[in-house]
Amino acid sequence: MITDRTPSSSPAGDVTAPLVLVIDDDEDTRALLHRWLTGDGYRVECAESGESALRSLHRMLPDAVCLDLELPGWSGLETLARIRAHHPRLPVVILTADSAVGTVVSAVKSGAWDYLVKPIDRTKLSTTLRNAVERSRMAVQLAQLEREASGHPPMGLVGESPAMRSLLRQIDRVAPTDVTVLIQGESGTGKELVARAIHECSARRAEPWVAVNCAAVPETLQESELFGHERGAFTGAATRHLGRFEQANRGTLFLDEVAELSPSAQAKLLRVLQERRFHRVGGGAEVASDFRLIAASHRDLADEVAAGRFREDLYFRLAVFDLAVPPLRERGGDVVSIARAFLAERAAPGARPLRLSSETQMCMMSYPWPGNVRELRNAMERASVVAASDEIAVADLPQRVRQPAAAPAPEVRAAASVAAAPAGGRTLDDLERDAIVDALRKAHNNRTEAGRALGIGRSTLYRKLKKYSLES
Amino acid sequence: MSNDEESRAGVLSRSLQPGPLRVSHDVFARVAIDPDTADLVPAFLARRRSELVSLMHAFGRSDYDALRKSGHNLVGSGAGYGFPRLSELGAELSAAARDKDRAALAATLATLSEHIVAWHERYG
Ligand SMILES: Nc1ncnc2c1ncn2[C@@H]1O[C@H](COP(=O)(O)OP(=O)(O)OP(=O)(O)O)[C@@H](O)[C@H]1O
Repeated sequence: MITDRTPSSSPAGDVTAPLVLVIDDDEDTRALLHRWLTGDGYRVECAESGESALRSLHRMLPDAVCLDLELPGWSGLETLARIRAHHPRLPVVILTADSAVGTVVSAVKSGAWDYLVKPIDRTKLSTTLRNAVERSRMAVQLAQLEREASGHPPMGLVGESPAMRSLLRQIDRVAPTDVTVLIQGESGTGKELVARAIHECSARRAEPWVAVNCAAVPETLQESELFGHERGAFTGAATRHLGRFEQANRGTLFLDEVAELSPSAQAKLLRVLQERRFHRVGGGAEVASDFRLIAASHRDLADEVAAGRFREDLYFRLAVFDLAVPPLRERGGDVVSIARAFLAERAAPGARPLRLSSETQMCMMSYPWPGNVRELRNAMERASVVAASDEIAVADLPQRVRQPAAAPAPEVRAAASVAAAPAGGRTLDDLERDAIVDALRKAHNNRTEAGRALGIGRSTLYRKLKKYSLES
Repeated sequence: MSNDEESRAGVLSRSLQPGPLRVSHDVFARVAIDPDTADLVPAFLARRRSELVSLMHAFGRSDYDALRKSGHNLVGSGAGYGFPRLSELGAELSAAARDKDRAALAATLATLSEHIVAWHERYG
C-alpha cells in the first residue's frame, strides 16, 4: 500500500445527511463515487441500471442523482426522462465519457441539472452536487412558502399548530416523489385527507386517485378487489374484473386500514411492491401497473408486526416514509380554526358563517375529541342546526363535549380501557357494545348514520362490529 | 492478421504471462493515488488485469461493442483511481473500437496490458 488511508467518517447512520443516488453500470465507477460521496458527507445508494434505479426510487427520497449516460437496457436519456416524469424536482447530474455534444445537449434540454465529463474530477463533482442538493432542498422550501403565501392549505387541511405545520412540511417534501408513504394516526384525524393532499401535490394529480378501505372488504374478496380476477376465477366471477391496482395505473392507490388485510393479501401486496407486476386472481397473463402507493392505518403497524399480525417485510416496504397525523387534542387552537372552516362551508352563499362564542371555544379546546376531526365536524353540523342565533353557544354543543368528565364518548371509554375496572360487573367493552347496538337501532341499522352519532368513522365502526360480532 | 498486427498481439499475449516484465519508467510517471481510495486500488487493478483476457477474446471475435464499452468504463474509472493514463487509453480503445480499426486496437491493447501489468505488480 502506498499511503495510509484515513478512514473517511461514514455518515451512513445520519439519516438527515443528503442522499445521492448513483446510477452507473460500471462497478468500479460506482465504488469510487460511493467512496468520494460518503467522504463528502452524503448518504449514497447505487443502482446499476435505469430500471433498478426507478424501482428503488419508489422507496427512497434522494436529494440528487448522478446518472451515467451510457447504460445497458434503458439508455441514460430514457432513464432521465422517466426520473423527470416521476420526480420533477429531483436534480439529475449527468456523467458522460462521451464528449459528443449532441447527447449532452439533449440531456440538458430534458432537464438535467448539470453534466460532468468522465473521467470525473472529484472537486468538480463535489461542487456540482453541493449546488444540486442545495437547490433540491430550496425547491421544497419554495413550494412551502408559495403555499403559505397563497393561504390555501392543500386539500383543505386546516391548521396552524406546530404539529400541523410539521405535517404540511413533510407532505411538501414527499408529495412530488413516487415514494411509498405510510400514514398513521387515530380514527378521524384526517389520514385520507393527507393522502389526498399528497396525490394532489404530486405529478400524478391529473391521473386516477383510487381509494380502498381494506376494513370494509371481506377477507375472502380482498385479493380480487385489489388485483382483479379473470372470468370464471371463482363462482360468481362472470366477467373479468380490473382490480384497484390496475385502476390506479399512472395514478395513486390509497389503501386505508391496511392492517386489516388478510395474510395472503399481505403476501401478494408485498410481491406487487417488489415487482410492480402481478396476476389477477384466476391466473392469466402478468399485469403491470405504474402506481404510487399510500397506505394508512389507525393502528400502530409496528405493534401489529410485533404481535405477529402484520408481515414485517411488508411493513418495511410501506413505511419507507411514514407520516404520523397527530390527534386533534394535540393541535391546540386548530380545533377552533377547523371548526370555523366547517361553519364557513355550511354557510349559505353570501351569508356570514355562524360564529363561536368564546366560552364555546374554551369548551371545545378542553374537550379531548376522541373521534378527532370527524367528531368535530359532526358536532359543528349539529350545532349549526340547533343554534338559536348567529353565534354557537356552549349549549349547542353535544352533551359529551359540554361535560367531558360526566359522559365520555364511547371512544373515550375505549381509550381509557387500559386502566378500566369493571363497573357494576360490566366492562367498558360491554358499555361500548351497548352504545353501538343502541346507535344502530336508532339509525335503523344505517351504519354511516350510527357511526356519525357515535362520533366514529365508518371503518372504526366496522372494526368494532367485527370485534363484538355484530356484523350481521 | 497483418504482420504488424500480429506482433502487437504478441506483445499483448506475452504481457499476460506471469513473470517479471521490463517496462519503461514513464508508466508510473503520472500515477497519483488518493489516500481516500487507496485501499480500493489493489482490487481495482486485479480486476483490470483479469479483464485483459476478455479484451483479447473480444478482439479475436471482433466484438467491437464489448471493446468500446470496456474502453468507456476505463475512461470513467481510471483517473479516479489514480491512473489518468488509463482513462486516456480507455478513450483510445473506445475510439478504435468504434472505427473498427484493428491495427489501432491491437496497438492500444498492447500498451494497455503493458501498463496494467506494471501497475498491478507495483500497487496490487
Ligand atoms: N386538518 C383538517 N382540516 C379540515 N378538515 C379536516 C382536517 N382533518 C380532517 N378533516 C376532515 O375530517 C374528516 C375525517 O377525515 P378523514 O376521513 O381523512 O380521517 P381518517 O383519519 O382517514 O379517518 P379513519 O381512520 O376513520 O378512516 C373528513 O371530513 C375530513 O375532511
